[in-house]
Amino acid sequence: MNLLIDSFISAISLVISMDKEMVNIVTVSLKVSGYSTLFASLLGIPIGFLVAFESFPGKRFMITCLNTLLAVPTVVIGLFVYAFISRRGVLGFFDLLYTQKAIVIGQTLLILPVVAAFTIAAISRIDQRYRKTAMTLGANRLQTAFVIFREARYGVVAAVIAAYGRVISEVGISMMLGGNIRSFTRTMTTAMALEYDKGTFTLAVALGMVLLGLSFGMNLLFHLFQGRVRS
Amino acid sequence: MLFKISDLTKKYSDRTILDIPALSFKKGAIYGLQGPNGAGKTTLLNILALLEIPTSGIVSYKSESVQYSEPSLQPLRKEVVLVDQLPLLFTTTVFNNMEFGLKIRRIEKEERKRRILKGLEMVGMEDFAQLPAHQLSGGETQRVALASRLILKPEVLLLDEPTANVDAASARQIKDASLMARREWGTTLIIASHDRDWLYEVCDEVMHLFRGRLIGAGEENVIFGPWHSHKDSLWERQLPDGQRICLPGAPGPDAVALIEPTSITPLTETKRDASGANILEGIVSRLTLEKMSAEIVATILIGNLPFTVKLSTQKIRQENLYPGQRVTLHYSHNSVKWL
Repeated sequence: MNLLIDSFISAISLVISMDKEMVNIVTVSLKVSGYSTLFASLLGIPIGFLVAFESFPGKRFMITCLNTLLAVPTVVIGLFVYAFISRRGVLGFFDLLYTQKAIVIGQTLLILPVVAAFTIAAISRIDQRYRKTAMTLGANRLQTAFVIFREARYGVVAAVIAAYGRVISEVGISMMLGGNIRSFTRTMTTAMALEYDKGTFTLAVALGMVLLGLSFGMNLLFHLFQGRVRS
Repeated sequence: MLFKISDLTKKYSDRTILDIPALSFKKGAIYGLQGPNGAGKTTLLNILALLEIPTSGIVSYKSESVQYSEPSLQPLRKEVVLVDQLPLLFTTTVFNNMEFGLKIRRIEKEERKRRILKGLEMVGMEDFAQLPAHQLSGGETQRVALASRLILKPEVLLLDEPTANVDAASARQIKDASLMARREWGTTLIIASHDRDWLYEVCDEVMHLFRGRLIGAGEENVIFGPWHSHKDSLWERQLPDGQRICLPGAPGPDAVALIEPTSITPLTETKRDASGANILEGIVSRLTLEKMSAEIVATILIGNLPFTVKLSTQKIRQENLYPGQRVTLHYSHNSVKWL
């Protein structure tokens, strides 16, 4: 019990003093998660929107596939991307393995289905009469799509926040594709795993506190936007 | 002709929603669409608004057959606009809602503002421009939806039950604003409504839709089964107040009978001829002047079943009919049609 309390007290002092190593790890985490969320949003929102807005053969099958991909473990994606970017992989000549870019690629693949599936849900919830209203007011297909997207905007933002929450707390991809290299690819979760292995808890607890704080912030934002969807 | 419809059908799965062999609408006229729920009024309005594609048949607009491709439909939709029965406003301000259609038509900013203010004034909502649309009541939403269509100065304005879900004051404003569009811009109005009095008051023509088919000018008395076989090849149905109506030649027990309002004669108590079986007793509940024929449409309640009778003003005077008076209805067997 003393170990936990001592670690907790030391961790608080680390957080307050903005320990250089801790700040560096948090920065790497925020950076890779930010980029992967950005890329996943740039791809996932249009995919989700098109799937929800358009009618085409195989639409339900595609939605089922996306929903299935929501449950894929991070290590499976880590392994999959590793096969491509390792020296022997087809993209090996890019030398991406154990770089932040590799983590971003893996994390983007991880949350792409999250963004797309949540966007589909957000667009599908929009009353069909909005489409009818836009059309009878003379809107073309693009203008109608814009109207629907605008009505679903809070739901789409909630999708992005949920995806960010998922990616900031994952460990498998960061470990397998980033390699947990100090000051370079060490993220909050991989650092915590390492500190645990070393048996030193101070930094792990401090990072855990920051991660929890960030997750709490994300959830607050998520519920704020979800609330606006409902209202 | 502005709209011309030939051999139009609309089916959902195997169910026929509309089956109209021929129908046309003249420019600048006001048309009323009557019929019970599920008659196909909304579907017909959606097809006229170019929002739904008919299963078969031809819809012509301004003498040209409508081509159901998005690039062909979009310019036409700028001329033909629909106000839904339960319209939605976008989740932004009333002003932005009203501006949407004007922006699409590339109307200049100053003109947009002028038209929006005029539109709001037409429906008595001048002070609502900057309010969030989702804060409006149902009646206010309906009025803003109508105003946002009126300021587009459409060629055709389609109104689907515009006064069904609003209070009397809102209904009055909606009615007045709709008629102003015809007066000011020669807009053709096609109104689906259960408000018979309003339709007869303002429409140049009223049509009656029943089970997807046009069955007449809107005033026909529709009597549902079940019919029971009676003597002398007559079919009988008991009315809600216990009286029995006997008609000849029903095709089956579930057939629907139509009786022309001109073939029913109301007689006052003193002149009652009790010899025939084709007699019913009721109370005059309403007398309405029909704009198109300048005749009087009398609604006679038999139990709670309204019968419509069409009479000249002279006949009304002669029989001294007034609401509340008990009358005997004499109907002709020859005028009965079966569906």
